[in-house]
Amino acid sequence: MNDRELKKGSAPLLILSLLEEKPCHGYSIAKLIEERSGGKLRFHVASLYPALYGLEKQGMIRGVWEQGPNRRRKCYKITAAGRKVLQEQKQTWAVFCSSVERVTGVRYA
Amino acid sequence: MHDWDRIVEQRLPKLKLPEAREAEIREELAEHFAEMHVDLLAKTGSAEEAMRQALEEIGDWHSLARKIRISEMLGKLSLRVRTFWLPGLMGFAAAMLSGIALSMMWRSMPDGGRALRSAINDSGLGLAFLGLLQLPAGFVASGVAWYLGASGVRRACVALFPLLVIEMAFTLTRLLGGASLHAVLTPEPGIILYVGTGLIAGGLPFFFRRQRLSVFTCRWLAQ
Repeated sequence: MNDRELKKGSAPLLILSLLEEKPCHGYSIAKLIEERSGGKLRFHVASLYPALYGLEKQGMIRGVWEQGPNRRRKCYKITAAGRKVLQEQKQTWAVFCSSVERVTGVRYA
Repeated sequence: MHDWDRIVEQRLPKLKLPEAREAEIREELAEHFAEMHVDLLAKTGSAEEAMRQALEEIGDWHSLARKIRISEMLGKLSLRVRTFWLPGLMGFAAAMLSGIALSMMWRSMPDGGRALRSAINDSGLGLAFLGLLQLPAGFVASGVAWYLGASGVRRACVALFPLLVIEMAFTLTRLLGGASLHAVLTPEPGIILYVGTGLIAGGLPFFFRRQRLSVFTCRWLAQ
């Protein structure tokens, strides 16, 4: 599995986690992911928006248009269904990471 | 100040979505670029360099349009449809169509091929040969299931085992001259029957175990 596949697989988890904290619009989601990962993770337009639209169609997030500083922008909020999926994904991820850690001996910060 | 609405309008191919939805997506992308441009401008100090870097992020606009189209299309479908019915029916249709096409080709073989057909028929391989030709159709089903993120390629291959067993039974009855089973498995109806039965039998376990597959499926399909 390469970096691209890892990033692709973790996109819903990352997006839902950020939206659980506070509603965000697309650009700020991309910026937050980059900032919090120390620049290691970057979601470009081509990967971010298809992921957002997919989550929205599945009812995990809900987009609402609101007025930004210069023009209106779409703000995404996590739904109850999204919170449920997020909890499941967090558990899956925790089990996966601890399993990899046990096998490889690599410690995660 | 760049007109990002116009830039997105010009570069992003038609998404083939309802007009209102398409306009909404274009507006959202334009807003994204406008904000990104402000940040890049502060960083680079050059409007042109900021624009170049902003546009560089997209690379292939056609690929972006395709990804958005797929996420819109798949998002409408329920998990069960996406993980079981769609790959199952697509695989089934691919297997049926290729089976019928092969059967028709076999029957309407041109003069040059008649000798080959006679030779195969005389050797007792006749329809068994057709049966073996169904294998690629099974792999088509496997590929479709994998592509749609139903379960990954190894699990999808497991679904082919019933098909392979029926293929082998069909071939053996022909070779050994068994009449009863072979009478059922003759020309088009027989081909449809055994390929269809095999695919359905292989797909059923996925239906009942779909909950275990849902984590992987959501992860892939939400992209």
